[in-house]
Amino acid sequence: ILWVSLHEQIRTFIQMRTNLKVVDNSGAKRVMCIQSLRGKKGARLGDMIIGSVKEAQPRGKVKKGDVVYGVVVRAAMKKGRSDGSEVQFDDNAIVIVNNKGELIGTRVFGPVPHELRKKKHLKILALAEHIV
Amino acid sequence: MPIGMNFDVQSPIIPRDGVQAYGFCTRALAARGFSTVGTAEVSVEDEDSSSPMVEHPPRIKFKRPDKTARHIMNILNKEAVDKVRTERTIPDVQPGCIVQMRVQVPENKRRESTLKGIVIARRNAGIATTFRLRRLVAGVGVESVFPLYSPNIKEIKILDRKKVRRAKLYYLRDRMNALKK
Repeated sequence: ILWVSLHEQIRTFIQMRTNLKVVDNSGAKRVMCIQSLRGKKGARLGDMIIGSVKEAQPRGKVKKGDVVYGVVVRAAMKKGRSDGSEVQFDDNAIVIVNNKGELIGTRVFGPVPHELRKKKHLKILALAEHIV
Repeated sequence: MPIGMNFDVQSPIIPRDGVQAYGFCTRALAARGFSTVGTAEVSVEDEDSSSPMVEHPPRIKFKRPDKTARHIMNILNKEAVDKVRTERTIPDVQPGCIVQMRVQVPENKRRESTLKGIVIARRNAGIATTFRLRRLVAGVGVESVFPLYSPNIKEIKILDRKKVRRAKLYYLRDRMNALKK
């Protein structure tokens, strides 16, 4: 978090040790990022990260302590669009994928941005409740 | 028959009326100097006795380049804003307005989506005036910044105007229940 003035919080990238929420039904609840697979400073909206599962549901496809890949679907850092608008969410969230980019879970909760279309994560877009 | 000015700006030119000029001001000075055609000889005679100064053409006011540039940019900005305003009416969105807008995004394959939310900030910058919309989407708060004069925004409708005592309502991020959404 950066503070530009007293009122403006500027959220920055998703980097090592960032806690993220998991918004699919793969079994994990919280994941800590250990590596961002794109960008020197960290991951943004739509990028892939490697994370370690910190909290998981008892019976799920992933357990606590697993190292998983994830796609960032909600980021608190604003992302610019080509028409001049920007979008930012209130939290950081990922969905768990395998290293090829295919989803592990079968449902996705919450809104997703349509930046994922350009990154070719069409399965996530198809399962999403709402596309922002 | 062209107007009797040389377009060779490399060398100093001496047009008919006797005014010497250099560089890019050549044409302007020459044009302004035309008025002294008839009186050139008379003034030279007078000044021979009074002062050793050569006759100077009427002064051109030359402002600082950045001031002129800023003035020109302001005019261009205003023209652009007026042009957009004549094409479609854009209501006055102020912080605290609850607004419903129809946007057409190219990324979503040209589908018109309806967004409803509260305006929490507005930044005035001529044609790049933007406003910040906060809405709840599927249980998650989303803030978006839109250029007010964007052609992608098809329609803005103001549903309600809340009384707020601030220009930037960033405190709403912490309290999601207070002002409706």
